[in-house]
Amino acid sequence: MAKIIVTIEADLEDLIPDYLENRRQDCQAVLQGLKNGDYEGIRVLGHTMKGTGGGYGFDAITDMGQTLEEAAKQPDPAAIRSVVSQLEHYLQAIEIVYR
Amino acid sequence: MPEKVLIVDDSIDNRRLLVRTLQKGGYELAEAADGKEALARTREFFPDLILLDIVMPELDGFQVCAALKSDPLTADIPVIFLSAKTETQDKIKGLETGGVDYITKPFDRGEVLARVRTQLKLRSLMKEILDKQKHLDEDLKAAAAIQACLLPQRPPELDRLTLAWKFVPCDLTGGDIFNVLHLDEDHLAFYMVDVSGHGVPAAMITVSVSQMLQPQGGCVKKKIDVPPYYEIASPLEVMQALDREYPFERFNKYFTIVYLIVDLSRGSVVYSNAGHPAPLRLHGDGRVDLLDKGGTIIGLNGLVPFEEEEIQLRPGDKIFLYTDGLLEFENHQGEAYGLPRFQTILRQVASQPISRILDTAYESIRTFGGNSPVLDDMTLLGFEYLG
Repeated sequence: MAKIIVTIEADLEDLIPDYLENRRQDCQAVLQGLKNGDYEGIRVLGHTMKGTGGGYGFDAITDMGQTLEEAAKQPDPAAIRSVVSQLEHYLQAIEIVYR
Repeated sequence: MPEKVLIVDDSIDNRRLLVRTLQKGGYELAEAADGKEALARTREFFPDLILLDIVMPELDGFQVCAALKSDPLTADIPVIFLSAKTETQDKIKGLETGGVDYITKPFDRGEVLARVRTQLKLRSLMKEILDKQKHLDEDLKAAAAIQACLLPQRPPELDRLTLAWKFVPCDLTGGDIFNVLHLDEDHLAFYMVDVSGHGVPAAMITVSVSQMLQPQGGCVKKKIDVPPYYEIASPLEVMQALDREYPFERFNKYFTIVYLIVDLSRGSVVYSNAGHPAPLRLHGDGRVDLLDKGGTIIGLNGLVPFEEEEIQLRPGDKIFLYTDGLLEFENHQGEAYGLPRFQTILRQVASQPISRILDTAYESIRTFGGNSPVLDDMTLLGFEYLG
Protein backbone atom coordinates (compact mmCIF):
# COMPACT_ATOMS: atom_id res chain seq x y z
CA MET A 1 0.00 0.00 0.00
CA ALA A 2 1.45 3.37 -0.98
CA LYS A 3 2.02 5.57 1.99
CA ILE A 4 0.33 8.93 2.30
CA ILE A 5 2.67 11.38 4.04
CA VAL A 6 0.92 13.93 6.24
CA THR A 7 2.81 16.67 8.04
CA ILE A 8 1.38 17.62 11.42
CA GLU A 9 2.45 20.32 13.87
CA ALA A 10 4.69 18.78 16.51
CA ASP A 11 2.76 20.13 19.47
CA LEU A 12 -0.22 17.98 18.45
CA GLU A 13 1.65 14.69 18.48
CA ASP A 14 0.10 13.37 21.67
CA LEU A 15 -3.44 14.13 20.42
CA ILE A 16 -3.11 12.33 17.09
CA PRO A 17 -3.53 8.70 18.17
CA ASP A 18 -6.88 9.45 19.87
CA TYR A 19 -7.99 11.56 16.94
CA LEU A 20 -7.31 8.80 14.42
CA GLU A 21 -8.88 6.18 16.65
CA ASN A 22 -12.04 8.34 16.79
CA ARG A 23 -12.11 8.37 13.01
CA ARG A 24 -11.87 4.58 12.91
CA GLN A 25 -14.81 4.47 15.28
CA ASP A 26 -16.61 6.94 13.02
CA CYS A 27 -16.27 4.45 10.15
CA GLN A 28 -17.98 1.80 12.27
CA ALA A 29 -20.64 4.24 13.40
CA VAL A 30 -21.42 5.21 9.80
CA LEU A 31 -21.79 1.58 8.73
CA GLN A 32 -24.08 0.98 11.70
CA GLY A 33 -26.03 4.07 10.79
CA LEU A 34 -26.51 2.73 7.27
CA LYS A 35 -27.93 -0.49 8.70
CA ASN A 36 -30.34 1.51 10.89
CA GLY A 37 -31.22 4.05 8.23
CA ASP A 38 -29.93 6.84 10.50
CA TYR A 39 -28.86 9.29 7.82
CA GLU A 40 -29.12 12.25 10.15
CA GLY A 41 -26.60 10.61 12.47
CA ILE A 42 -24.32 10.00 9.48
CA ARG A 43 -24.75 13.58 8.37
CA VAL A 44 -23.65 14.86 11.81
CA LEU A 45 -20.61 12.57 11.78
CA GLY A 46 -19.67 13.88 8.35
CA HIS A 47 -20.20 17.47 9.49
CA THR A 48 -17.94 16.96 12.51
CA MET A 49 -15.27 15.25 10.42
CA LYS A 50 -15.40 18.14 7.99
CA GLY A 51 -14.83 20.56 10.85
CA THR A 52 -11.97 18.79 12.57
CA GLY A 53 -9.81 17.26 9.86
CA GLY A 54 -8.05 20.32 8.48
CA GLY A 55 -7.51 21.80 11.92
CA TYR A 56 -5.32 18.87 12.89
CA GLY A 57 -3.64 18.86 9.49
CA PHE A 58 -5.70 16.12 7.83
CA ASP A 59 -7.22 18.06 4.94
CA ALA A 60 -8.31 14.81 3.31
CA ILE A 61 -10.47 13.99 6.34
CA THR A 62 -12.17 17.38 5.95
CA ASP A 63 -12.86 16.60 2.28
CA MET A 64 -14.21 13.15 3.08
CA GLY A 65 -16.33 14.59 5.86
CA GLN A 66 -17.89 17.06 3.45
CA THR A 67 -18.62 14.30 0.93
CA LEU A 68 -20.14 12.16 3.67
CA GLU A 69 -22.32 15.03 4.88
CA GLU A 70 -23.60 15.69 1.34
CA ALA A 71 -24.21 11.99 0.70
CA ALA A 72 -26.20 11.67 3.93
CA LYS A 73 -28.38 14.63 2.96
CA GLN A 74 -29.44 12.91 -0.35
CA PRO A 75 -29.40 10.12 1.08
CA ASP A 76 -27.03 8.13 -1.10
CA PRO A 77 -26.00 4.85 0.60
CA ALA A 78 -23.57 3.89 -2.16
CA ALA A 79 -21.74 7.17 -1.85
CA ILE A 80 -21.66 6.79 1.90
CA ARG A 81 -20.07 3.32 1.66
CA SER A 82 -17.56 4.69 -0.80
CA VAL A 83 -16.47 7.43 1.61
CA VAL A 84 -16.12 4.95 4.45
CA SER A 85 -13.96 2.79 2.25
CA GLN A 86 -11.79 5.74 1.29
CA LEU A 87 -11.45 6.78 4.92
CA GLU A 88 -10.48 3.30 6.06
CA HIS A 89 -7.86 3.11 3.34
CA TYR A 90 -6.57 6.57 4.24
CA LEU A 91 -6.28 5.75 7.93
CA GLN A 92 -4.24 2.66 7.08
CA ALA A 93 -2.01 4.43 4.58
CA ILE A 94 -1.06 7.64 6.39
CA GLU A 95 2.43 8.16 7.67
CA ILE A 96 2.76 11.18 9.91
CA VAL A 97 5.71 13.52 9.93
CA TYR A 98 5.80 15.94 12.86
CA ARG A 99 7.28 19.39 12.37
CA MET B 1 -4.27 37.47 35.93
CA PRO B 2 -4.73 35.39 32.77
CA GLU B 3 -7.82 36.04 30.69
CA LYS B 4 -10.41 33.28 30.67
CA VAL B 5 -11.78 31.53 27.61
CA LEU B 6 -14.66 29.03 27.56
CA ILE B 7 -14.56 26.49 24.71
CA VAL B 8 -17.95 25.11 23.73
CA ASP B 9 -18.02 22.23 21.24
CA ASP B 10 -19.71 18.83 21.26
CA SER B 11 -16.67 17.30 19.52
CA ILE B 12 -13.98 16.25 21.98
CA ASP B 13 -11.47 16.38 19.13
CA ASN B 14 -12.26 20.04 18.53
CA ARG B 15 -12.13 20.86 22.22
CA ARG B 16 -8.72 19.21 22.58
CA LEU B 17 -7.38 21.03 19.53
CA LEU B 18 -8.65 24.38 20.77
CA VAL B 19 -7.28 23.81 24.26
CA ARG B 20 -3.89 22.98 22.79
CA THR B 21 -4.05 26.07 20.58
CA LEU B 22 -5.17 28.50 23.27
CA GLN B 23 -2.68 27.23 25.82
CA LYS B 24 -0.10 29.02 23.67
CA GLY B 25 -1.86 32.27 24.51
CA GLY B 26 -1.55 31.66 28.23
CA TYR B 27 -5.29 31.75 28.83
CA GLU B 28 -7.17 30.08 31.62
CA LEU B 29 -9.48 27.60 29.86
CA ALA B 30 -12.73 25.80 30.55
CA GLU B 31 -14.82 23.51 28.34
CA ALA B 32 -18.45 22.67 27.74
CA ALA B 33 -19.75 19.86 25.52
CA ASP B 34 -23.22 21.21 24.76
CA GLY B 35 -25.37 24.30 24.94
CA LYS B 36 -26.89 23.73 28.37
CA GLU B 37 -23.51 23.03 29.89
CA ALA B 38 -22.20 26.17 28.17
CA LEU B 39 -24.73 28.38 29.94
CA ALA B 40 -24.11 26.74 33.33
CA ARG B 41 -20.35 26.92 32.93
CA THR B 42 -20.48 30.57 31.90
CA ARG B 43 -22.20 31.49 35.14
CA GLU B 44 -19.56 29.65 37.20
CA PHE B 45 -16.41 30.45 35.25
CA PHE B 46 -17.21 34.03 34.11
CA PRO B 47 -15.12 33.83 30.95
CA ASP B 48 -13.72 36.88 29.23
CA LEU B 49 -14.56 35.28 25.88
CA ILE B 50 -16.49 32.27 24.58
CA LEU B 51 -15.62 30.16 21.53
CA LEU B 52 -18.95 28.67 20.51
CA ASP B 53 -19.79 25.84 18.14
CA ILE B 54 -23.18 25.96 16.47
CA VAL B 55 -24.32 22.41 15.66
CA MET B 56 -24.72 20.84 19.10
CA PRO B 57 -27.33 18.72 20.81
CA GLU B 58 -29.84 20.27 23.28
CA LEU B 59 -29.26 23.94 22.50
CA ASP B 60 -27.46 25.04 19.38
CA GLY B 61 -24.91 27.82 19.36
CA PHE B 62 -27.38 30.46 18.17
CA GLN B 63 -29.70 29.66 21.06
CA VAL B 64 -26.83 29.75 23.53
CA CYS B 65 -25.67 33.12 22.24
CA ALA B 66 -29.17 34.58 22.38
CA ALA B 67 -29.53 33.39 25.98
CA LEU B 68 -26.19 34.92 26.94
CA LYS B 69 -27.05 38.26 25.34
CA SER B 70 -30.39 38.46 27.08
CA ASP B 71 -28.84 38.09 30.54
CA PRO B 72 -27.29 41.33 31.87
CA LEU B 73 -24.68 39.27 33.76
CA THR B 74 -23.37 37.63 30.57
CA ALA B 75 -24.43 40.02 27.81
CA ASP B 76 -21.09 41.75 27.47
CA ILE B 77 -19.01 38.56 27.13
CA PRO B 78 -17.75 38.47 23.52
CA VAL B 79 -18.78 35.32 21.62
CA ILE B 80 -16.80 34.02 18.65
CA PHE B 81 -18.68 31.43 16.63
CA LEU B 82 -16.56 28.54 15.44
CA SER B 83 -18.47 26.33 13.01
CA ALA B 84 -18.37 24.09 10.00
CA LYS B 85 -21.55 25.85 8.80
CA THR B 86 -19.95 27.99 6.14
CA GLU B 87 -22.92 29.55 4.34
CA THR B 88 -23.14 33.34 4.38
CA GLN B 89 -26.57 33.24 6.00
CA ASP B 90 -25.10 31.27 8.94
CA LYS B 91 -22.44 33.93 9.43
CA ILE B 92 -25.04 36.69 9.23
CA LYS B 93 -27.24 34.88 11.72
CA GLY B 94 -24.31 34.42 14.08
CA LEU B 95 -23.37 38.09 13.99
CA GLU B 96 -26.97 39.21 14.29
CA THR B 97 -27.45 36.93 17.30
CA GLY B 98 -24.69 38.89 18.99
CA GLY B 99 -21.46 37.15 18.03
CA VAL B 100 -18.48 39.42 17.55
CA ASP B 101 -16.77 37.14 15.03
CA TYR B 102 -17.34 33.96 13.03
CA ILE B 103 -14.57 31.51 12.19
CA THR B 104 -15.29 28.60 9.86
CA LYS B 105 -14.05 25.07 10.41
CA PRO B 106 -11.67 23.54 9.69
CA PHE B 107 -9.88 26.45 11.29
CA ASP B 108 -6.35 27.66 11.10
CA ARG B 109 -4.91 27.56 14.61
CA GLY B 110 -2.96 30.77 14.17
CA GLU B 111 -6.07 32.56 12.96
CA VAL B 112 -8.10 31.40 15.98
CA LEU B 113 -5.39 32.63 18.32
CA ALA B 114 -5.14 35.99 16.54
CA ARG B 115 -8.88 36.59 16.54
CA VAL B 116 -9.20 35.60 20.20
CA ARG B 117 -6.40 38.01 21.07
CA THR B 118 -8.06 40.81 19.11
CA GLN B 119 -11.44 40.39 20.76
CA LEU B 120 -9.92 40.21 24.22
CA LYS B 121 -7.95 43.37 23.53
CA LEU B 122 -11.12 45.12 22.36
CA ARG B 123 -12.95 44.00 25.48
CA SER B 124 -10.15 45.28 27.69
CA LEU B 125 -10.09 48.63 25.89
CA MET B 126 -13.86 48.93 26.17
CA LYS B 127 -13.67 48.31 29.94
CA GLU B 128 -11.00 50.97 30.21
CA ILE B 129 -13.12 53.44 28.26
CA LEU B 130 -16.19 52.71 30.38
CA ASP B 131 -14.16 53.14 33.58
CA LYS B 132 -12.76 56.45 32.40
CA GLN B 133 -16.20 57.57 31.30
CA LYS B 134 -17.56 56.71 34.74
CA HIS B 135 -14.88 58.85 36.39
CA LEU B 136 -15.52 61.67 33.94
CA ASP B 137 -19.24 61.49 34.64
CA GLU B 138 -18.58 61.59 38.37
CA ASP B 139 -16.27 64.60 37.95
CA LEU B 140 -18.81 66.34 35.74
CA LYS B 141 -21.57 65.79 38.29
CA ALA B 142 -19.31 67.19 40.99
CA ALA B 143 -18.49 70.21 38.81
CA ALA B 144 -22.18 70.71 38.10
CA ALA B 145 -22.93 70.62 41.82
CA ILE B 146 -20.24 73.21 42.48
CA GLN B 147 -21.54 75.43 39.71
CA ALA B 148 -25.08 75.06 41.02
CA CYS B 149 -23.86 76.31 44.42
CA LEU B 150 -22.70 79.53 42.79
CA LEU B 151 -26.18 80.28 41.56
CA PRO B 152 -28.66 81.93 43.88
CA GLN B 153 -30.39 79.18 45.81
CA ARG B 154 -33.70 80.91 46.41
CA PRO B 155 -35.11 84.35 45.67
CA PRO B 156 -34.43 86.78 48.50
CA GLU B 157 -37.52 88.02 50.33
CA LEU B 158 -37.85 91.69 49.58
CA ASP B 159 -40.65 94.18 50.25
CA ARG B 160 -40.27 96.12 47.06
CA LEU B 161 -39.36 93.48 44.55
CA THR B 162 -40.28 89.91 43.59
CA LEU B 163 -38.09 87.80 41.41
CA ALA B 164 -37.78 84.37 39.86
CA TRP B 165 -35.55 82.55 37.38
CA LYS B 166 -35.24 79.51 35.17
CA PHE B 167 -31.89 77.94 34.36
CA VAL B 168 -31.57 75.10 31.84
CA PRO B 169 -27.99 74.07 31.01
CA CYS B 170 -27.58 71.99 27.86
CA ASP B 171 -24.84 69.90 29.48
CA LEU B 172 -24.35 69.00 33.13
CA THR B 173 -22.21 72.15 33.41
CA GLY B 174 -23.01 75.36 31.57
CA GLY B 175 -21.56 78.57 30.19
CA ASP B 176 -24.42 80.64 31.61
CA ILE B 177 -24.37 82.07 35.07
CA PHE B 178 -26.42 84.69 36.83
CA ASN B 179 -26.76 86.11 40.29
CA VAL B 180 -28.55 88.54 42.52
CA LEU B 181 -26.22 90.53 44.77
CA HIS B 182 -27.37 92.36 47.86
CA LEU B 183 -24.99 95.33 47.64
CA ASP B 184 -26.58 97.15 50.55
CA GLU B 185 -30.05 97.67 51.99
CA ASP B 186 -31.12 99.89 49.08
CA HIS B 187 -29.23 98.36 46.18
CA LEU B 188 -29.55 95.03 44.44
CA ALA B 189 -27.37 94.05 41.52
CA PHE B 190 -28.41 91.53 38.88
CA TYR B 191 -26.11 90.06 36.33
CA MET B 192 -26.31 87.43 33.68
CA VAL B 193 -23.26 86.03 31.90
CA ASP B 194 -23.02 83.84 28.81
CA VAL B 195 -19.56 82.42 28.10
CA SER B 196 -18.83 81.33 24.52
CA GLY B 197 -19.13 77.56 24.07
CA HIS B 198 -20.51 75.32 26.78
CA GLY B 199 -19.49 72.36 28.93
CA VAL B 200 -16.61 72.33 31.38
CA PRO B 201 -14.35 75.03 29.83
CA ALA B 202 -17.18 77.59 29.74
CA ALA B 203 -18.33 76.55 33.21
CA MET B 204 -14.89 77.17 34.67
CA ILE B 205 -14.90 80.72 33.34
CA THR B 206 -18.32 81.33 34.86
CA VAL B 207 -16.83 80.32 38.22
CA SER B 208 -14.00 82.80 37.75
CA VAL B 209 -16.34 85.63 36.72
CA SER B 210 -18.80 84.95 39.51
CA GLN B 211 -15.95 85.10 42.05
CA MET B 212 -14.81 88.44 40.67
CA LEU B 213 -18.34 89.79 40.93
CA GLN B 214 -18.82 88.81 44.56
CA PRO B 215 -19.47 91.93 46.71
CA GLN B 216 -16.32 91.22 48.73
CA GLY B 217 -14.27 90.82 45.52
CA GLY B 218 -13.57 94.55 45.19
CA CYS B 219 -15.03 94.93 41.72
CA VAL B 220 -18.76 95.61 42.29
CA LYS B 221 -18.27 97.21 45.69
CA LYS B 222 -15.05 99.10 46.31
CA LYS B 223 -13.55 99.81 49.71
CA ILE B 224 -12.96 103.49 50.52
CA ASP B 225 -11.45 105.24 53.52
CA VAL B 226 -14.43 107.33 54.50
CA PRO B 227 -17.88 106.26 55.79
CA PRO B 228 -19.73 104.21 54.74
CA TYR B 229 -16.31 102.75 53.76
CA TYR B 230 -17.61 101.35 50.48
CA GLU B 231 -18.66 102.67 47.15
CA ILE B 232 -20.89 100.82 44.75
CA ALA B 233 -19.22 100.55 41.34
CA SER B 234 -21.36 101.67 38.44
CA PRO B 235 -22.30 99.14 35.78
CA LEU B 236 -19.96 100.96 33.39
CA GLU B 237 -17.07 100.56 35.80
CA VAL B 238 -17.89 96.88 36.24
CA MET B 239 -17.86 96.33 32.45
CA GLN B 240 -14.52 98.07 32.16
CA ALA B 241 -13.01 96.06 35.00
CA LEU B 242 -14.18 92.78 33.49
CA ASP B 243 -12.90 93.79 30.08
CA ARG B 244 -9.43 94.44 31.55
CA GLU B 245 -9.44 91.21 33.55
CA TYR B 246 -10.66 88.90 30.77
CA PRO B 247 -8.96 89.71 27.49
CA PHE B 248 -9.90 87.14 24.84
CA GLU B 249 -6.40 85.70 24.66
CA ARG B 250 -6.47 84.79 28.37
CA PHE B 251 -8.76 81.77 27.86
CA ASN B 252 -9.48 81.97 24.14
CA LYS B 253 -13.02 82.67 25.15
CA TYR B 254 -15.21 85.73 25.34
CA PHE B 255 -18.38 86.32 27.24
CA THR B 256 -21.37 88.60 27.25
CA ILE B 257 -22.82 90.13 30.37
CA VAL B 258 -25.65 92.37 31.34
CA TYR B 259 -25.31 94.06 34.71
CA LEU B 260 -28.05 96.06 36.44
CA ILE B 261 -28.21 97.87 39.76
CA VAL B 262 -31.69 98.44 41.18
CA ASP B 263 -32.06 101.27 43.69
CA LEU B 264 -35.02 100.02 45.72
CA SER B 265 -35.57 103.34 47.52
CA ARG B 266 -35.72 105.41 44.32
CA GLY B 267 -37.18 102.73 42.03
CA SER B 268 -34.45 103.28 39.46
CA VAL B 269 -32.31 100.92 37.41
CA VAL B 270 -28.90 101.72 36.01
CA TYR B 271 -27.46 99.15 33.66
CA SER B 272 -24.80 98.37 31.15
CA ASN B 273 -24.46 95.56 28.69
CA ALA B 274 -21.53 93.86 26.99
CA GLY B 275 -22.89 92.12 23.93
CA HIS B 276 -25.66 90.38 25.83
CA PRO B 277 -29.27 90.19 24.55
CA ALA B 278 -30.93 93.43 25.63
CA PRO B 279 -33.10 93.08 28.73
CA LEU B 280 -36.82 93.60 28.26
CA ARG B 281 -38.97 95.93 30.28
CA LEU B 282 -42.61 94.84 30.51
CA HIS B 283 -44.70 97.81 31.60
CA GLY B 284 -47.79 97.38 33.75
CA ASP B 285 -49.94 98.24 30.70
CA GLY B 286 -48.40 95.44 28.64
CA ARG B 287 -45.96 97.49 26.55
CA VAL B 288 -42.57 95.87 26.03
CA ASP B 289 -39.40 97.72 25.26
CA LEU B 290 -35.70 96.90 25.11
CA LEU B 291 -33.04 98.24 27.44
CA ASP B 292 -30.60 98.48 24.62
CA LYS B 293 -27.68 100.57 25.81
CA GLY B 294 -24.36 98.83 26.09
CA GLY B 295 -21.29 97.80 24.18
CA THR B 296 -19.61 94.82 22.67
CA ILE B 297 -18.48 91.54 24.23
CA ILE B 298 -16.04 91.29 27.13
CA GLY B 299 -12.56 90.44 25.89
CA LEU B 300 -11.79 93.13 23.33
CA ASN B 301 -9.88 95.31 25.77
CA GLY B 302 -11.85 98.48 25.37
CA LEU B 303 -12.01 98.41 21.60
CA VAL B 304 -15.58 99.76 21.73
CA PRO B 305 -16.57 101.91 24.72
CA PHE B 306 -19.37 100.62 26.95
CA GLU B 307 -22.50 102.67 27.54
CA GLU B 308 -24.64 103.01 30.61
CA GLU B 309 -28.26 104.09 31.07
CA GLU B 310 -30.53 104.86 33.98
CA ILE B 311 -34.29 104.31 33.81
CA GLN B 312 -37.09 104.96 36.26
CA LEU B 313 -39.38 102.06 37.19
CA ARG B 314 -43.07 102.34 37.93
CA PRO B 315 -44.78 99.93 40.31
CA GLY B 316 -45.75 96.87 38.30
CA ASP B 317 -42.86 97.18 35.85
CA LYS B 318 -41.08 93.92 35.20
CA ILE B 319 -37.55 93.45 33.86
CA PHE B 320 -36.37 90.26 32.13
CA LEU B 321 -32.83 89.12 31.57
CA TYR B 322 -32.17 86.11 29.34
CA THR B 323 -29.45 84.43 27.33
CA ASP B 324 -29.43 83.94 23.58
CA GLY B 325 -29.91 80.17 24.01
CA LEU B 326 -33.55 80.98 24.64
CA LEU B 327 -34.12 83.06 21.51
CA GLU B 328 -32.04 80.79 19.30
CA PHE B 329 -33.75 77.55 20.34
CA GLU B 330 -34.83 75.92 17.11
CA ASN B 331 -37.72 73.65 16.23
CA HIS B 332 -37.46 70.73 13.80
CA GLN B 333 -38.02 73.05 10.86
CA GLY B 334 -34.91 75.02 11.83
CA GLU B 335 -36.95 78.04 12.87
CA ALA B 336 -35.65 79.93 15.92
CA TYR B 337 -37.96 80.90 18.79
CA GLY B 338 -36.97 84.55 18.38
CA LEU B 339 -37.52 87.83 20.19
CA PRO B 340 -40.95 88.66 18.70
CA ARG B 341 -42.43 85.37 20.04
CA PHE B 342 -40.91 86.04 23.43
CA GLN B 343 -42.30 89.57 23.55
CA THR B 344 -45.75 88.32 22.52
CA ILE B 345 -45.83 85.77 25.32
CA LEU B 346 -44.77 88.39 27.85
CA ARG B 347 -47.56 90.72 26.73
CA GLN B 348 -50.13 87.94 26.99
CA VAL B 349 -49.31 87.20 30.63
CA ALA B 350 -48.18 90.67 31.67
CA SER B 351 -50.48 90.81 34.69
CA GLN B 352 -49.34 87.49 36.11
CA PRO B 353 -46.78 87.12 38.93
CA ILE B 354 -43.18 86.87 37.82
CA SER B 355 -42.79 83.15 38.49
CA ARG B 356 -45.92 82.37 36.49
CA ILE B 357 -44.69 84.50 33.58
CA LEU B 358 -41.40 82.60 33.50
CA ASP B 359 -43.19 79.25 33.65
CA THR B 360 -45.42 80.29 30.74
CA ALA B 361 -42.49 81.59 28.72
CA TYR B 362 -40.48 78.42 29.27
CA GLU B 363 -43.49 76.23 28.40
CA SER B 364 -43.94 78.23 25.23
CA ILE B 365 -40.32 77.66 24.27
CA ARG B 366 -40.52 73.89 24.88
CA THR B 367 -43.81 73.61 23.00
CA PHE B 368 -42.29 75.53 20.09
CA GLY B 369 -39.22 73.31 20.04
CA GLY B 370 -41.07 70.01 20.49
CA ASN B 371 -38.46 67.41 21.37
CA SER B 372 -35.67 69.27 19.59
CA PRO B 373 -32.42 68.93 21.52
CA VAL B 374 -31.34 71.87 23.66
CA LEU B 375 -28.05 72.92 22.08
CA ASP B 376 -27.26 75.95 24.22
CA ASP B 377 -27.84 76.89 27.85
CA MET B 378 -31.07 78.77 28.51
CA THR B 379 -31.38 81.24 31.36
CA LEU B 380 -34.29 83.51 32.13
CA LEU B 381 -34.53 85.85 35.11
CA GLY B 382 -37.28 88.30 35.87
CA PHE B 383 -38.14 90.76 38.61
CA GLU B 384 -41.10 93.00 39.34
CA TYR B 385 -40.78 96.35 41.03
CA LEU B 386 -43.60 96.63 43.56
CA GLY B 387 -43.04 100.27 44.51
